[in-house]
Amino acid sequence: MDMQALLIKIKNGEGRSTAMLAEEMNTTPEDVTRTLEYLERIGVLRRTELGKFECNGSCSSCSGCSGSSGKEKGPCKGCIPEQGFEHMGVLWEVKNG
Amino acid sequence: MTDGKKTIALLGQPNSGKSTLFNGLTGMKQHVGNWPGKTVEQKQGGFTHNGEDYVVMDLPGTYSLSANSDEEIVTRDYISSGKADVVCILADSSQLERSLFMLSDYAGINVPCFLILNLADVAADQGKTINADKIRSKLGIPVVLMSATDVKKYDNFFAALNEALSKKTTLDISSLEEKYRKLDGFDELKAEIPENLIPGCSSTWMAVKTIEGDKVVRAKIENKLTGDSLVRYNSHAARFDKGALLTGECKFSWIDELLSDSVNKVTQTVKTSKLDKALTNKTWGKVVVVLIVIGGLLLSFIPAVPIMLLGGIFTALAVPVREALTAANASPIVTGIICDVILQSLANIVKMLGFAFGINLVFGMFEESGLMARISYVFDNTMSKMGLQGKSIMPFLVSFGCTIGGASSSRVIDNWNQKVLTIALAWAVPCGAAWAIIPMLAANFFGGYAVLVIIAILLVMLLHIWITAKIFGRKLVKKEDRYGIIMELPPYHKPKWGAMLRFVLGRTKDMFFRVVKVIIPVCLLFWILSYSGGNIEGSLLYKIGVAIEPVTKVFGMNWQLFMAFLASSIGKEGAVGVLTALYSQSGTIYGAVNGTNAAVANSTQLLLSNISGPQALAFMFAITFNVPCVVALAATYQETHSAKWTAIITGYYTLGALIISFIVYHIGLLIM
Repeated sequence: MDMQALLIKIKNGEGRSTAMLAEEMNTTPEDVTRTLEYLERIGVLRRTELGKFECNGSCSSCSGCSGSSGKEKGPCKGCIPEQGFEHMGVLWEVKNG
Repeated sequence: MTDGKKTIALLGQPNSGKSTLFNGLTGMKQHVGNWPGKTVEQKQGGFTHNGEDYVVMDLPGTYSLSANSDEEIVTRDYISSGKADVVCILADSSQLERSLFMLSDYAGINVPCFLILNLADVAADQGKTINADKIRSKLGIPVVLMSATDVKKYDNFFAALNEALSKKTTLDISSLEEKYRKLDGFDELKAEIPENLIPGCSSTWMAVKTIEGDKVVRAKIENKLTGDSLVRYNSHAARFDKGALLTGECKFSWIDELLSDSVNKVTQTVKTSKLDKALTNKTWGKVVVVLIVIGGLLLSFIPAVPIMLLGGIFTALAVPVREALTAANASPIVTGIICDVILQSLANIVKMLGFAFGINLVFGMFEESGLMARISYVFDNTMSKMGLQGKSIMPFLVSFGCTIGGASSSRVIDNWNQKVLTIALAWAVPCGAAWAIIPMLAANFFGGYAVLVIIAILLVMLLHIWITAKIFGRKLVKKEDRYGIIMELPPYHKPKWGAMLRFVLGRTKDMFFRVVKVIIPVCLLFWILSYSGGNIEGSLLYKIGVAIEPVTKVFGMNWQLFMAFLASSIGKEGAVGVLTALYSQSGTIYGAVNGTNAAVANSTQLLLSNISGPQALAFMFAITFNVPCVVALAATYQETHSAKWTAIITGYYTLGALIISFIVYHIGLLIM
């Protein structure tokens, strides 16, 4: 896959799914995924697990956070499911500048 | 070689089955420590085969041999140190297109090696047929298809090991090198690097690492080159910008060619599903998503209705309790507090929880099924154009439950300006308390049309976010800070009902305790302030209310509603407490103004008889888009560390809520 072409496509600011990108680039989603992973490893793209919630339990002032009060520290059980939002997918982003 | 023992280094990406093979070979003969000077775990073991002793070094699992991490540096240094007699490279047979990358990165290292295509059983389950002999003929090294979990079938592994050791088999990189040679400037660069300048590494490998911008390799080469050769090397190296893209393409292309006639797999034509096509359509995607959300809101009323009816029990209970207390000559104040404050508050709280439960259940289903990912995908595009990072989705999602959590979760956003913008926008997302109060009030005032009110609130939310992004974004996010995005949509899932119900019930329970803590004290405070005992002019609240009413009416709110609006800044639930107090039955302003303490059926009827439709509408919009609560304000300060921006956002939302209320009230007057 032409990685430069792929980056130009992403940089146009138009969101697209990996399946759509595979169709556009005339390749397979697996090829797109491995290329995205590679680009992430070399620091060109940034990967965000959308389901991961990185609350460290320090928002003790949140009255809705049962997990952040007392000794029990962790994500706010009142705000997110126990396992985080598991089915929110993965996002890759590239800085336009 | 160690003490006459042959040393095998196991090299592979994480999850390629390296540790399984290591355990299979060494059994209990293992030693675990750290690599010198690093916090990277070093695992060494040994085994005997056919009377020969071997040492096995389990190298850290890495994706490549670049110098991006301690693990990669340790791995690379060990291989080039010459301590290993042979390197066993492992790849995951079920995803060779990805896992052979390590092999392609190893190409050019002269230490003898052989390839293990591990997880053969998984690949077979996927319907893949792998011809190891064909791969072997292309690579020139022993290749074994096996499953490291099956320790009884290691014969082929031992045969490959012996062959690699005895013949000192090295990887044939001619076809990969041909691809590198097509890169403009590769040959010239390679010509400046003598073979084995770094021990065990070919000039091709060093040239590739130079092109990739590997600082460690470059420093080693620059240390050893001198004079014109060094100048020419640096000059050729400088020609490559983003060289890792170029070499990456070569490596992947080489892997694809290697596998093209060696692996047969069941070809799955991946086509975007019809639903995904509709959701991701540039023109209609947003419309489809809005329709789905509306459908979800309608669905959420189904579980809410029975819980709302349950709330009615507390209202109904107020009549016999009042009669019983009166018959027992209880003080009117005690009767008022029990019937008007506690029971009315509980009735409202249970009704609110009904909607909170319904909405959380439906949107939990959306998330569990993978639909929520599609919904956020549709708006990612817009978010990206607003200058927000993909990570901003989380604060928004969490804000639907609690704005405090939303503000706290913006911590993951590394750019301060984008963090402030994200928090500013997350405030526009109605929180769980709003989602509990608004449907209840809307259902009370507008019956079946409540859904339309909620849809209108959602649309105003989107408009609010857009306008806020324009206003704040201009100041906070520059064009060069914006991002392009790709989303890997998860497959559709059948919801895990148990886990989902636990979350929804947990959130409803949290909300119950939270609203009880706010509503009852606020209701009690305003009930006391409004307690007139028949002399309304003596009530402090009445005096203030009458004084400010000419101004509050401009925004479509009588003074009672405006008090509730102010209380909603402390917490949205506070608004319900104030309304309950001010429109309760006995001994308060309402009772005095109406001249009786007549038993009016319930607080809903009281609200309906005292608040017009346009006023109710204006009030609902005002509290929805008001400051979420004081704790959210504190969380915003905590995350932004800026009193200035916290004050700006607070002022903006207070003013915005009043403007929205003004507009909605006048639209309401026109249509009702």
